[in-house]
Amino acid sequence: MSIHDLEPQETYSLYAHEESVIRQAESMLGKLDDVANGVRVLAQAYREGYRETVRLVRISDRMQEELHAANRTLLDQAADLQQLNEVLHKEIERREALEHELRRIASLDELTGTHTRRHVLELGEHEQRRRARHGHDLALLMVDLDHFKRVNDGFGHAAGDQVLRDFGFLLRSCLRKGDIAGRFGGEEFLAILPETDLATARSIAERLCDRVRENRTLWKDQSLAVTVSIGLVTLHGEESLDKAIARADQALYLAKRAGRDRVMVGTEPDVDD
Amino acid sequence: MDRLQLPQTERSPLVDFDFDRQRLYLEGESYPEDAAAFFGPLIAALDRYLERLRAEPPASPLIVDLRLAYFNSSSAKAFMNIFQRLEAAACDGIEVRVNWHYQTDDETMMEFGEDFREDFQAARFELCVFD
Repeated sequence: MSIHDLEPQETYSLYAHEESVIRQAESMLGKLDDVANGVRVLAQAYREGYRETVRLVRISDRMQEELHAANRTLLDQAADLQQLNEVLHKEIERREALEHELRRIASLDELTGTHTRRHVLELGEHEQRRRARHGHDLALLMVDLDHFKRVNDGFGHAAGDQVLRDFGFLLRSCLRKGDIAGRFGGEEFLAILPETDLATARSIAERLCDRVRENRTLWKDQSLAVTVSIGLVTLHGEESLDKAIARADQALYLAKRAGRDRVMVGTEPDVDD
Repeated sequence: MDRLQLPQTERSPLVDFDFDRQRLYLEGESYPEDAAAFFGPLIAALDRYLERLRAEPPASPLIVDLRLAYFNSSSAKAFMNIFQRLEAAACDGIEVRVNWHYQTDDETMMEFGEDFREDFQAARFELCVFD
């Protein structure tokens, strides 16, 4: 039984201070236990947190190691790819150069420096289409070296080649910029003169005839002379290249028949064509 | 104190603690199998060295150069242990300068350097870029 139960508030205790100190001390004892428990919980929590940190660092180390290894593999692969890419680029460049060279070989006759048959026909088709669209003139010269077989038979093929080489040069130098010359067969050549009327084409053909006649090919200690016959046509209407070439061929034949070393203008195409 | 030198390996950095010249240097990548085993002796040597500097404060600063290309979390923890010791020594009046070297364009290492810098008050922590 406590003093408070008898006379609360009013009764004065001689030992009120002592009792309050005891009460305070007792309540603090209880708090001390709380604090001790709190510190215990804190230590436990810290221990758990710290253990977790250690585990996390370990996990993160392992993941980083894998990532690092993967990254290095990728870098190596990137370097390999880069190298492969360079090799491929070189190969592509090599092939492009090869293709360019092949195209050049396919389009140019080595000996005469004129186009090949196939290429001159391609260019001719192109000019024919241009002519059909714009309606300007287009002249064709079919040129053949006279008695070329005699050169080959009498002086050998090397001499024949030299004559062809010289002729190629003459042909190219008689034509103007934009004109097209090609070796059609052995000693037969086709010249295509875009935007050129008959009179102009004729004067060019005559000049070529003259220059070939005046020219001499030096072969060993000899000088070789050749002449050319030329069949000349201009395209008509919707006439195809093939038909125009056939007419030029016919004119060339007539030039040969008339004694060679001359220019013959082809007849008008048949109305039926 | 004897100079402490370790060659660089695939997983651990080059170490050159030239105590007498007051220069400590780490360079390379750091992800040792056992970070405690690798850094333990270094940190122990650093502790002995800092004790000596506290007893006889040097006239010139202690210079620490770090040039790292890659490190894992355990190494980061080891670096923090080292940095705490350096900062504590600086608080005790030893002049400490830490240079954090990173390669141009290596944003990761630059950002890690910026992060570490925040823990320094008394010691000087500088970011140094190299090509």
